[in-house]
Amino acid sequence: MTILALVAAMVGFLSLALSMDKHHQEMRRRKSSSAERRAFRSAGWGGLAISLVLAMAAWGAAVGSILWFGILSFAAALVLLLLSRIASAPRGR
Amino acid sequence: MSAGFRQSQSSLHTWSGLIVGWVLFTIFLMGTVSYWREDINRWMRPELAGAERPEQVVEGAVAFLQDTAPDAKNWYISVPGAHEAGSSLFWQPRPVEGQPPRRGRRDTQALVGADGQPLHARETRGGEFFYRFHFDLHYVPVLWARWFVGFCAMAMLVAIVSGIITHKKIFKDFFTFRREKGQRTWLDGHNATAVLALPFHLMITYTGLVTLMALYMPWAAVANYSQTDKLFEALFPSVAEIERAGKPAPLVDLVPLMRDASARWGGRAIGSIRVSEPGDAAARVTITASQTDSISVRTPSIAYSGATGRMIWQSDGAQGAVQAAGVMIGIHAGRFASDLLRWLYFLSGIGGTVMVASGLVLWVVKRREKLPDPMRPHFGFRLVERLNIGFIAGLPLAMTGYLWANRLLPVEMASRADWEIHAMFIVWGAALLAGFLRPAKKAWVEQFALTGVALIGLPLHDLLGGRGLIGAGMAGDMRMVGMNMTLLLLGVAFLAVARKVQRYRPKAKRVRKVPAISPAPAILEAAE
Repeated sequence: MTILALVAAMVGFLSLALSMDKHHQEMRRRKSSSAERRAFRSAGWGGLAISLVLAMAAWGAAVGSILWFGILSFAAALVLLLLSRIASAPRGR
Repeated sequence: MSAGFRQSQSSLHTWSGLIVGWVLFTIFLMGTVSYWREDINRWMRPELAGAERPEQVVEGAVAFLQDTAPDAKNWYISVPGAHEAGSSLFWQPRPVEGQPPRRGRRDTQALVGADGQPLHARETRGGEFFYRFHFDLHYVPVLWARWFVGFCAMAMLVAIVSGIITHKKIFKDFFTFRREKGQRTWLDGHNATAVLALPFHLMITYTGLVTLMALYMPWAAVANYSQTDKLFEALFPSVAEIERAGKPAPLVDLVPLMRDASARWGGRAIGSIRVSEPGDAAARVTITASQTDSISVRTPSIAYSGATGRMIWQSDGAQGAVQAAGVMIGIHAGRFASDLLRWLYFLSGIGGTVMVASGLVLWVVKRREKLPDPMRPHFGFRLVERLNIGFIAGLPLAMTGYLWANRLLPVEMASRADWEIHAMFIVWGAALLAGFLRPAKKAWVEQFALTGVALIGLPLHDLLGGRGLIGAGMAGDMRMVGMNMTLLLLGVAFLAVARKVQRYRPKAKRVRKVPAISPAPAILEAAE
């Protein structure tokens, strides 16, 4: 359950990154439409919310919410490192 | 927001961060390793290793105390939990008329091992030293230290808030980390470690101040309570002190009382036991719950008659304010945290440590390009650059030196525990000095590499001594295995940092060449 919470948080942050022009360009090599941006943004926040629900389900409301903050930081750091790898990788596949 | 306001916040951020930066780095790093305080305790007392059997340990402790201090006024017994194997005991001798009460002497303390037998372990402050140092410092009076640490924590809070205001693209740059771009990379790294763990940084700084609030802001208490005793009685109600009856009565078996208390708390673990007037008809046993099972550090107690085993008092729920403070301190110290959450705490703490370190390095990197004569930088620049080495690279080296002193100093040495600490400061002093004497880049590489080698050496040393990783693994002592693996991992990380610094060649940017070399992305890599 905790692993799922981490996965949900990572998917959430990746979606949030995809809703930003700069990172969308890096990952998908094209501009995003405004519908896509909206979809990524909702999916992103949704992912973070699901992560909170999972953490609370596994650890209870009090400890779960504290754990969730830790999971968020960890997930965001992983996504950041992943994106910086993608951004610094040589262009073209 | 006007540009002038943001500019002023930027200056505030730079200087509030720089002035206390080295102290904050120290507090953050020491506090971060303190999340593994009990495990470090255990590692530093290898004699105590073994699987935990709390009831057996308590029985052994009682037998020992009945032999050693049958007429003491109080016995205090710590009950081993998931993190410690044995129990530390101390007792308060019966006060003698006309003599001041004695406290915390060495001859009124003892250790009981996991098998319940009294144990002669090496003298050490263990992980407690790191924990105390992160708010009490060392070699200075505790009250001064706490005021100083509080001042620095306040400056930290100022730096965090002004940093958020200064960093205008906080959400736009949320996922941005540009590698190998010199100053840009440092700034991204500083922002990333700050922003990604921002809830942690705000929480830890604020609740850190809360832990010592009675010291910093005593006025409400002073205005309402004439005596400290009264205040404590109001805040932390406890069972009334007892008078000795003078009639001997054997002490009941403590194990059923522990089970009873645990059952009344819905299965919580026991943290500590106090026996007042043991062996007397009026004897009393007070059992306090462990801090591992609730977020708040204010844990309930139950008192029993020591002669009959009947329950005579139970603490009721703490008041709102006390509970709120207890929860804040609990969230800060993470004693309730399971291993998983402790790792997240630890990683967030590393993030905070790297944030402070990268801020300090950024101050230097930013100014290096603007030096009028890069070969002869002004005094302030040199001071900051060199202090950075002695703290950021020197402190981890010194802490490793402390662990080595624990293994190398003779077990029977006089004031051994003190010398472990002196050893840490000797190494630290040497590292600071080397930071000033050696060329900057060499000093960074040497100290990081030495730390890495020394960290890896610790588990190897134990392995050769026959009770390291493999011995602990065979004995099923997973806490010791975890400590050894973590030391190895940290050692590898420090070697990787050293290599990164060693290989770093600044690109000749613009016209002006960068003279000395900064360990640019190195520390950031270590945080990965």
